[in-house]
Amino acid sequence: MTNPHTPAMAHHATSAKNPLAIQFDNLEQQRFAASLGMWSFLATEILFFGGAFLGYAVYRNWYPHAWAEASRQLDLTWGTINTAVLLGSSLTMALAVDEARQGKSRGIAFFLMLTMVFGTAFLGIKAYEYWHKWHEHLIPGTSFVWSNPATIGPAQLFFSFYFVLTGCHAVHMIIGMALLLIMWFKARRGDYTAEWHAAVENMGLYWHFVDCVWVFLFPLLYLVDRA
Amino acid sequence: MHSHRAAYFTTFAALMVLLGVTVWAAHIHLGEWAAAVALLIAAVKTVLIGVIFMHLGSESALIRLFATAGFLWLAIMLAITLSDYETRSLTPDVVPVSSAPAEPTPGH
Repeated sequence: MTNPHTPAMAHHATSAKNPLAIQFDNLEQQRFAASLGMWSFLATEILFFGGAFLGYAVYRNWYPHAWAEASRQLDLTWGTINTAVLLGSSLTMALAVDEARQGKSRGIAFFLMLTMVFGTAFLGIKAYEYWHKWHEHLIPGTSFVWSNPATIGPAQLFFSFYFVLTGCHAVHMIIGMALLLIMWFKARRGDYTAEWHAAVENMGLYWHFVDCVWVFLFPLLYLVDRA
Repeated sequence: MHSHRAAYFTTFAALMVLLGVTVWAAHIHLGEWAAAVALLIAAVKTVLIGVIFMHLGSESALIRLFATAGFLWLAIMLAITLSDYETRSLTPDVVPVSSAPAEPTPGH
């Protein structure tokens, strides 16, 4: 493969005009390395959340009734709406990458902005749910209020998992939103071209991964037993 | 590269249908199969997102391998740990079953 833009040895710095770094033969090789690096990072992220999922599995099997009872305290309507909002943000992120592959800077900026709007809506709904749980005294600890004395311990365990898992997920979204904002400015500046837009591609991978985490969190937290 | 916009919208529609299915399935009495059904639907959604939104369908074999590896290690961690916790009741003479504090009968 030959690089249509520059001979590999001629340039040293990465810039908008010449995105090829010195250690790569061509842009396709550079793109592949960027993508592989991102997937390696995502593999570690799977295990980051995986540890919490494992703890969840053990405790859910120990206290199935308490977890079913506690899960029913979560607001299924808002949970379902939030899942739809987040899946919508994944659609707009995929469309941003689609625009990047065609080198359409304004299209990238537009869909990144839409993704941020959906992301903000998700975090807003999540914040409202947290506030509601605070109001209902469902934060584990000394002020936890539970009508069934037989399950007050495991119920707090459930809510501990709820807050830690959704909290870690929300932190990932906040980081993603900050990166999206920076990327939005860069897209408007015209930094991304059809030939070189690996950052947008990797942003998409990160965002979709965080979406996938929620795809599992939603049934595990909101849908333990609604029958 | 030409646009895949139509495929992304179709995928989104499928994800919305699956979201409806998982909420519906949670409301019918499936007993101990409820969790398996919920996880199966979540897995299908994840595959759709991975293959289409994350382009695994058109990526190289090495990247697909890396994407699968994360799930493989997760599966190993889950399988080995749960093979302990979920079989303790089969060998009460080796590991006391009471290692899990007994859940009192729910009050409803």
